[in-house]
Amino acid sequence: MTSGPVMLPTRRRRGRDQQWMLTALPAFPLLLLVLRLWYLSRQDLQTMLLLVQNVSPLGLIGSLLITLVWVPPVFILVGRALGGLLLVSSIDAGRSWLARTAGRTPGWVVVSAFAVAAVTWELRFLPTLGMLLLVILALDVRLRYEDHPRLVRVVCVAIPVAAALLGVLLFGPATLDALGMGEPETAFLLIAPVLALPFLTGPVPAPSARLVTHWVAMAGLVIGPILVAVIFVQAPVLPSVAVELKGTPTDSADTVGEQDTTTVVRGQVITVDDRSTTLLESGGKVEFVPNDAVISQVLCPDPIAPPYSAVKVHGWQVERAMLSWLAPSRSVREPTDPRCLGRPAS
Amino acid sequence: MADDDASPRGGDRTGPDASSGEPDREPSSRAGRPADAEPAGGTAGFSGAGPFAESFTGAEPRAGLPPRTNLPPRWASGRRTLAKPDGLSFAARLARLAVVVMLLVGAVVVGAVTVTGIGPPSEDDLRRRAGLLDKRQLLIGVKDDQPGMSQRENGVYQGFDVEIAYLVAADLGFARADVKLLTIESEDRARRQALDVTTKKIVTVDLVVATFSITRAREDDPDVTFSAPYLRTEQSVLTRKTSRKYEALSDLENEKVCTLNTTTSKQNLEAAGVQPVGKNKISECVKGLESGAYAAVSTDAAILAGFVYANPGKFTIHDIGAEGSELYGINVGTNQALKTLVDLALYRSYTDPTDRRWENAYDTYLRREQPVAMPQQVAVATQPEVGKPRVRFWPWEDER
Repeated sequence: MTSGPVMLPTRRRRGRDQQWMLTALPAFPLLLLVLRLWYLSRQDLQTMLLLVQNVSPLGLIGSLLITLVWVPPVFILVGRALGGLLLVSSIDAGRSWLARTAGRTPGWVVVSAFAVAAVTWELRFLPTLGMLLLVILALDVRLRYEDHPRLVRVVCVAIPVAAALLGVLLFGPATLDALGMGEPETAFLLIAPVLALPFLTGPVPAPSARLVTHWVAMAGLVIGPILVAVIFVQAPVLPSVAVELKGTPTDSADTVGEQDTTTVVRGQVITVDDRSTTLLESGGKVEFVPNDAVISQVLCPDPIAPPYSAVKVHGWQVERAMLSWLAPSRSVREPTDPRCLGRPAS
Repeated sequence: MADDDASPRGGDRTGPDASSGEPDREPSSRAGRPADAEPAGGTAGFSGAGPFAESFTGAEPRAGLPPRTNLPPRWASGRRTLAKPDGLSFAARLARLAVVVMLLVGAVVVGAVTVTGIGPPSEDDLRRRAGLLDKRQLLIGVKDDQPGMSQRENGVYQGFDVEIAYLVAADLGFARADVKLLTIESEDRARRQALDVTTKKIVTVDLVVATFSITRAREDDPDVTFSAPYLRTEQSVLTRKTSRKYEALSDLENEKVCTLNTTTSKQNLEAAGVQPVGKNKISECVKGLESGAYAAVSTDAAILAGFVYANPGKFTIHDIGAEGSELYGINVGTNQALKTLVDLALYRSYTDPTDRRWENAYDTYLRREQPVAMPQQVAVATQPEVGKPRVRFWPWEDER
């Protein structure tokens, strides 16, 4: 191994090389926003230009924020835990960017990520969150206070075992419920992190460490942004409305009997000016509706999808996050307005 | 933090220098950090371990042994891996590896399940798939000549089937004004072809609610998809007012019996050795019975009882002790999403104690016929059981 002065230029060069990362970082959300508009315009460039002209950036960013606020903690906490595992397991962990990044992640970043995750993650992911936090803590202690066996034993053995027992008490009944309802994935999410926790506070065999940490993180880094993009392009960015219009409907084959002259257009409002309302119909068609022709408008609430899981933990539905549990929500069982289904209000 | 990449190899960095390069380190460990003296060759074996070492060695003043390195003590002392008192044995490591691998695999599987949202569709999904969005009218084929079940008088359809049609339509999101009832004949029920009397057009209806019994043969027809049953009745026999008792279908053997074409009743009569006359409308049979052309009319009790009730003192209904019941279902054609939605409407009506629409329809149209139909039961007075359709519910909907 060479001596210090030779290494110095290498270090500086590497540091310079990584500056572009800072520039590239905001590019991803920007790319997401453009992708979102492109998706909304159904790949039609003219429509997309119209959208770019009218869609408020604030609305887009708001939508991005609400939809993806839970994502950063995933990357931070999982990366930090995997990095920690690599650090305690492998003697040449420093070769991995994962270990280097994990080693440099300050404690306050981990704690704030945990706080954000605690309120924004659905209940079914909270056991995982607790596990990640305790694992990060235990691996850190194992690294830093190696020669304090008593401390290591408390943090890496006693606390995890106690937390696991507590977790079994908390989530055990709900896990059995989930199994009874035929939801193995919910049962896994509730109980697997709890049971695995005592096993994750120490090193794994050194030869395998890189595979299960570094390369897993690499895979996550490749797939993660794609998943994030997929989730975001489905988030609504324009208010969805139904507009009742005067005019003669086309004589469609499935209408029978006398026809009324109102039509209903469902779509999203791009903009309203003093002459017309610009609508993006659900089929991707842009329609400029004269304001005189509008009889009524109604805001169609999001088709709030019922949860996939019916499991509850002590009365808390597993697919609700603390934030949505705390924040006031509208009562969802109001009957759907017929206009939102494409029929005039009778 | 590129300068963290620098290995403290060869002791080229001193304490203050290293500290200034690591703003993210916790102050406590920084404070207690001794000089970065490095034993020669101590790090020779691993070139990239420097950053890790800097960040993670607390290197706080230890009680016993003098701080001599910024590496984890285990590494610095050369005892790298095994035989630590807190369970760093190889077996423990293997167990941990197994758990990590299991968790990762589980995370991938659960992640895939969560992201793709595998599970039953929601009601909104089904409405979209069934093509109900942007649909102006829901066309429902019903009979027009069966008092009590579905009769058209002065352009208005009335009866139990009509109420069921409106019940289902309401749950599909169609107000009464958006529901268009059309007359359908027995032979057209499988093909869902109904006549619009106002425009003289033959149209394909969305739903057929027309005393359509669920049978194996009909279910095998690719054009027919039955919903869950909504009424349970049985075959019966109608004659002019008489004191004679018919107690089996075979009692009609040498009589002229009228029934509906393409119905289960006709098949049952033929199986009992009776050669029935087939008509397309049950009202024609009843007219023939009234005029003496036929000795008896045989079809479902729920249909016949309506004629007894509507024509007091003219007819007698006979309990022929038919085995097996006729279960009426709604034909939705080939639209599977629509079938699930119709099932959902019937399921809600079946499970929700506050939903009295089925019970009210029964009380209004069928229960009143029961006294004149004695001892024949008109129809079972409770809604046939409906299995839970594969739909994602709101959790509180399950708690009823």
